[in-house]
Amino acid sequence: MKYLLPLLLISLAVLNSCVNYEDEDYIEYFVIEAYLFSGEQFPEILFSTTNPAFESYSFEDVAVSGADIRIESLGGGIGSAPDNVITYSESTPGVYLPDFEDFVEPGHTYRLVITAPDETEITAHTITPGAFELLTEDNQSVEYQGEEQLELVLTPSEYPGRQSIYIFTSIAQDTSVENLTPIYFDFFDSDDDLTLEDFRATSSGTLNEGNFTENEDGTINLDVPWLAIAFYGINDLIVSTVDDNLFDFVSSQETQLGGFSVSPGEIPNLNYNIDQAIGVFGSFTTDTIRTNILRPAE
Amino acid sequence: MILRLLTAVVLSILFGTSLLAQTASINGYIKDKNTGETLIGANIALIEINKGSSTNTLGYFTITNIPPGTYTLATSYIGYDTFQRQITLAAGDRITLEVELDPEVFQGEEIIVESEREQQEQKNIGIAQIDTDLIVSLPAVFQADVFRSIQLLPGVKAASDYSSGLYIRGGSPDQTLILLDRATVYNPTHFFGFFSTFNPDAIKDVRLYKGGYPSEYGGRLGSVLSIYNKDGNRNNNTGLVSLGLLSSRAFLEGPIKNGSFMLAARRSTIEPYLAVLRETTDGIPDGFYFLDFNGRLNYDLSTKDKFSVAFYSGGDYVDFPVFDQLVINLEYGNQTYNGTWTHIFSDRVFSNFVFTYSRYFNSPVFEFAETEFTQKNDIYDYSLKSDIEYILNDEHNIKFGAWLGGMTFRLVNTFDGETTFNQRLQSDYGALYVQDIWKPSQRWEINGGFRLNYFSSGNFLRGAPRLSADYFLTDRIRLQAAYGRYHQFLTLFSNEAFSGFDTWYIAADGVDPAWGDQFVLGAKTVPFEGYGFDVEVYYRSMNDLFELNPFIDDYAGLAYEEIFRFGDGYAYGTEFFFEKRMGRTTGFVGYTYSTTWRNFPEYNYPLLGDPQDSRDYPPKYDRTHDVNVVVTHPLSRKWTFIFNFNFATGQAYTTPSGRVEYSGNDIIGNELNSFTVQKLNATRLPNYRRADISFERNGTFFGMGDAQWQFQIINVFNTRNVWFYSYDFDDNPVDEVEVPLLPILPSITYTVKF
Repeated sequence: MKYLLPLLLISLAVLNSCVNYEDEDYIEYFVIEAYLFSGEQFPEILFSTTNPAFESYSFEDVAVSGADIRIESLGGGIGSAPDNVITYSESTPGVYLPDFEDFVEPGHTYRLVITAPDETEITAHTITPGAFELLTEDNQSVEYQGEEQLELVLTPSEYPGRQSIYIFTSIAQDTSVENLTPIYFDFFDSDDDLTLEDFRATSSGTLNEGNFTENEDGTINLDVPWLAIAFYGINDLIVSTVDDNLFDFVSSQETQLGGFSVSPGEIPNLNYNIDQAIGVFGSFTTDTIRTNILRPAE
Repeated sequence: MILRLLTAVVLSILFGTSLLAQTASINGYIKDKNTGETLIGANIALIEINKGSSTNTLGYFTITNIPPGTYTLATSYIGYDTFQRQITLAAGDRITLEVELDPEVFQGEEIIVESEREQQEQKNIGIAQIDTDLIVSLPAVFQADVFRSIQLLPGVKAASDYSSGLYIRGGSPDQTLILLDRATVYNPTHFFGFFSTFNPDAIKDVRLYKGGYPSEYGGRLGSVLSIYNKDGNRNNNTGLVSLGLLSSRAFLEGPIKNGSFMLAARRSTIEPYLAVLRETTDGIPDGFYFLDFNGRLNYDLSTKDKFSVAFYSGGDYVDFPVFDQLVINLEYGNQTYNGTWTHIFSDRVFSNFVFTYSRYFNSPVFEFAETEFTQKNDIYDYSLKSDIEYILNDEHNIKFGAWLGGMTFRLVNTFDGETTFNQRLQSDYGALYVQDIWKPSQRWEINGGFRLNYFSSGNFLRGAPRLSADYFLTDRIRLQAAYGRYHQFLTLFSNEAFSGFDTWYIAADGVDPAWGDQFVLGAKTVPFEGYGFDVEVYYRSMNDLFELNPFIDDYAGLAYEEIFRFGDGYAYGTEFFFEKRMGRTTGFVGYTYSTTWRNFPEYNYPLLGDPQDSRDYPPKYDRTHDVNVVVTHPLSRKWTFIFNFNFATGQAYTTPSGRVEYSGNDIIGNELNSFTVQKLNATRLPNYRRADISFERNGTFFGMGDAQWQFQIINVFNTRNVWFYSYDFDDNPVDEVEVPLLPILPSITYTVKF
């Protein structure tokens, strides 16, 4: 008996010594941000670093100047030799623009290559989602929460190795408070920090292709949910398909800061698909129609 | 040898005769004299030959191989007067007794002495028990709660003041099998997890197998919580009405011909407070209530055949119109039904057969500008269980049984009227087990067993050996060791902040069941008469854990196995338990040193490193040190003071290291913020401290019955414990906002027993 307690205390100390899981000090990382839209010109690229979490943040303070940046077109896919190279130059600190006009192709592989001022080489790939077309008639008028929901019909997009992932966005053209739909008016009215600009563009978040009805001819039907409409009047309805990088970036950002799927206080890093930096080098393929959302009949 | 043993078992079961007619035996039930309620774990012994037994979960005992002679038969049970009588046994006698014990009456300054022997069964490795009277007396937020009381035991942790979930020996709540009268309970919480569904008025016995549990149980990686409802008073009609701030309870029990009944009901009574709050505060639900019913009917066909049927039905219902066009409706709950036939084949063979049905349902609906999101998760589980206990001789007590059942799992998600995910899985399951409690000498007791599990969804067949050994070093020191392998075919998606969306998933093709090994060492000692000092050390592994991938929030079009991530974990710790069971002041001190770790591929790997280099991390509920003190002290005949105090290491959380603000775009959103972190959950919240006090005043209700006032203060020192930190990006720099746990909280309950 007299040896029992000391033995246990010793074993406790041994067990305790096994635990070595201390947090580490802040490490600065390079951050890139670029969004390629199929059919559009190559975009600006933002190049910066992270900031200590609880220090004041401004892009100008963390912008990285003097980097060598290019996007390579890899017609043969990842690992193939570039068939075209879009070079970039710095316009303002941390903001880089393409040196010449060229357009992003759908269903194509691109490689971003950045040589930072400290010679770190940063690379990332994106495969732009396949092209699709919105077949729905443009410039329709639809009564908000009326009998008929606005139905979008689109030809399918394709993405290698997985189903397509869509984001549905509506962008209001007249963001006056009188035009707010009831639910968004309630939001606006209940929070003084919110502005009308916060509701100008509303997005669905990522939606799997499995959510939609596939027609016999292969086209896809999507009923526009009323929650997507924040303002009456003219709205641009944008259907986008996203690449893996954007999907990982968006879903992990939601998990990190707004998710219900991890315990409160557990903050996982975002999923980045970049070598030697964090951020996003993502691509969209989109199509847009314009519609007029009418107030409900009295 | 095995053949002879088997032959003896079969003959004995078939013919119900003692194979050793030159000796005698005694069997029967031990009951509460006032209520006729059978007592679980009561001890009975023949003093002169130091031969004894204890009652099983149905209050039944048997002592065999007694040489003819005259003996003093003694029984003891906590809270009851000791019973003694002379008994003379002749060769071949098989005597059936019904022993009735008088409940102890508290008598002022009288010293109450309990024998340590009666706790022997409760001191088996990994087992913890909590007195149902203590559950009702302990200070509790708004109302007495079984799980909150269990959380005071070493090895059991709470995730927060707001969660009654049981985190036992490093496992998540789904790793504990919860049985109510042998039926599985899938949803053990009310009020979004705030407290458990079990009405303390209806409960007779609460037994927790923290780890290393024997082969008669299975299906969970960690532990088993077995709760038995009261049978009902067999002598008189009695009842209870209790009015509390959050809920009110009613309880009725009484005799019927050859049996008894028990009915208990509980309903939240919070609506008037919500109505007042709604006048001044936004975000208060229009409707919220929970209710539960427990019932039981017992019928004794003969002394050898007893039947009972029991049910539990409970649910939570929320109607929450946040705005005119944003409405949340929530319904979730559980129902269990069971029918039990207990049959005594002979003085050596005891059996029970149980039919169980359990249903879990959860169906949240969000309506957002006429766009409806719904989820429907159901589990239907029906089973037949049989347990047969055969006392072969003084050395071997054999138990074997089978559990056969079927389970239907359904998960349907809809969005805007369209079904986006629809998974229905049907699985048959079965388990066979055998265990032998072998006592080769006075000092040794060895419990060896094997359990074979089958789960048809995925076609999984798994074997699970179990072994434990007790060595009685002295009368006051008992050394113990146990090993077991355990399997789990289900997993629960839950969030400790809110259990209203709890969703169960089952193993299937491509989703292997989780499994783990447990190793436990223990020492149970009696340093002084009336005191106990116990130590247990454990290590357990958790393999093939499957849980929802936290980065997937849209399952549409995905195969079932694609919505999960698969990982491993382990936990180890040491538990100390010191209790004082004698004198005016009683109570216990529990201390736990423990740690638990998880590892999931491509999670918690070094930023810019290889995603395959994922590092172990502690889940949020990990606490290194945890101390609980519970003291009960009668101040006078009428007044009793109860105190409990908890100190624990702060929980693990993740400290943001760096931040980025992405400019974004109209499609994914503008000005997107994010943190970078170095290690997941590598920082600790401030240490947790909370002291609760309760004063009980016992009296009468206008001479019609006993009455009790409970005046309680939770967190009496108003310690500002931290639940977690949230971050406000509207400020620059980012503002870290502390989200606190419970402040000081008074509570009053009035209970009348009639």
